[in-house]
Amino acid sequence: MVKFFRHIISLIIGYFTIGSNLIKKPVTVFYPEKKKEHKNLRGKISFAEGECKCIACGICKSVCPSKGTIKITTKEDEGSKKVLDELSIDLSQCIQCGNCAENCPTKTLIMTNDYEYSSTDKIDLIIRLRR
Amino acid sequence: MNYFNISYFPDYVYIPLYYLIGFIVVAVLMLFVVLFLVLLERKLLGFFTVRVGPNRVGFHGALQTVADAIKLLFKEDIIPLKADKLLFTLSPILVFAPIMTVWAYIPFNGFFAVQNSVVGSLIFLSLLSFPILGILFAGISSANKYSLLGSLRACAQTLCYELPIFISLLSVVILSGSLDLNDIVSAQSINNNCFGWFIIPSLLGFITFYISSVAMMNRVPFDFPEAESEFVGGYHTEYSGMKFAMFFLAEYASMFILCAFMATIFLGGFLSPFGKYISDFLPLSDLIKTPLIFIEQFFWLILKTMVLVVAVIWTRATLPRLRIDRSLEFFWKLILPLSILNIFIVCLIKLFMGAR
Ligand code: SF4
Ligand code: SF4
Repeated sequence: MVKFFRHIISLIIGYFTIGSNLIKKPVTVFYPEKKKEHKNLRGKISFAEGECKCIACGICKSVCPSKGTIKITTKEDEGSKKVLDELSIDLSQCIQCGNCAENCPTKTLIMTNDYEYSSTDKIDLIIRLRR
Repeated sequence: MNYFNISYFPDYVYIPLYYLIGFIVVAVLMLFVVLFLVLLERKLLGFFTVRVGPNRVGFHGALQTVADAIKLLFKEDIIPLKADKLLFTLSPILVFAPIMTVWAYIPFNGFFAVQNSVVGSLIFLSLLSFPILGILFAGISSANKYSLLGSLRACAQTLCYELPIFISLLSVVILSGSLDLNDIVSAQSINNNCFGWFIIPSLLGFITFYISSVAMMNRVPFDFPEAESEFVGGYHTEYSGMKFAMFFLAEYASMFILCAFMATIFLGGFLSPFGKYISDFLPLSDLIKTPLIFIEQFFWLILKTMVLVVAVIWTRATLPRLRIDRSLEFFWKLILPLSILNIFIVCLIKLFMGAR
């Protein structure tokens, strides 16, 4: 009998806990109109502004967990030194882990806050850096 | 009712016309109520869980359910290959038709109920136990294990909630001495205020009736016939388009009408809680007052119903789903004895207090 009343009391408490939510402010963020910005957000990968500093070391390629996302081709410049010809990143395969940006010694690769890119053509999702 | 009896037409025109008008009133009312209820439920559930609910279509999401209804209308109607086509098509109608019919028996105000009957309350509850047939057929004909399990659960549940519901109704019948819903309401007007309502002598009956009718509406915490997290959608897993919409409509329509029924038999129906109607105090001539009282009585009934509906939604936001065996145990071992105990209490009250 005591148990029974304890159940009823806990039931009433439950009702009031839920009911008290009515006067709280909703925690919803109205997404397309308002966006939550975060400084550590891992969004679309991109190249740093300004002159291309990439040394074609290939670290980004080796740390990328999604194999085949980053492709690097090299060429030889006047002093027969190996330099970057083209670095392409296939965003449709990128999982936005941020490894490449973290490990890039020249900070060529950066992560942006843009997390809602899309395209109707897969070709558009390949970004290229040329020297 | 009496208003329509002054017939200028011969019988063969008058009777079909009367029922046609009744049908249209009920159908339109039902459509609006269901559209409103779905919106109300989604909004309230949103608020209860510290969200905002639908807010895109129309003003604060006011047109959301209209948009949903249009979407359902244009959806493809799929019948599974192995389904029994006749039963599959028949079952939404079997669920929907009785629930729509019972709307005719509620006295919405002192002058208008589409159908008066000496055994109104009995017919009401009997018709409401029909949909279980449709649910069973839906489960059998879908050729789907989830549907079958859902409908079997629904049947097991029906056995356990029907008994307390009728016994609780019996307490009201003992108090009022009549099965006619109009008489039940007028029997509650004796004290001329809310102390005459049957919820006071028969509080226990109200509680058991309420819990049983939550089970009758197939709602949380007794919603295992259609438990989404356990078996997809229960008996309506295979349904789409208009047929699904009929199940959906039936669920919300039965929720409203059962609450209206509870308001009628326990909370004084269309009576004002203060005994006198507000319209009575207005300095108006009788000619305007009479229709005003119509509207006010309707308003009181809807208000009481809405309080009960909100309580149902609140329950949905609070409680988790019970396990099927626990729920059957709950009904057989607790609710049924309580409702029988209630009969004793009510009989004693009737005996010692006389003409209550
Ligand atoms: S973010 Fe991760 S997955 Fe995307 S390119 Fe860089 S290392 Fe590869
Ligand atoms: S982008 Fe950075 S890590 Fe990748 S090859 Fe160029 S310098 Fe090396």
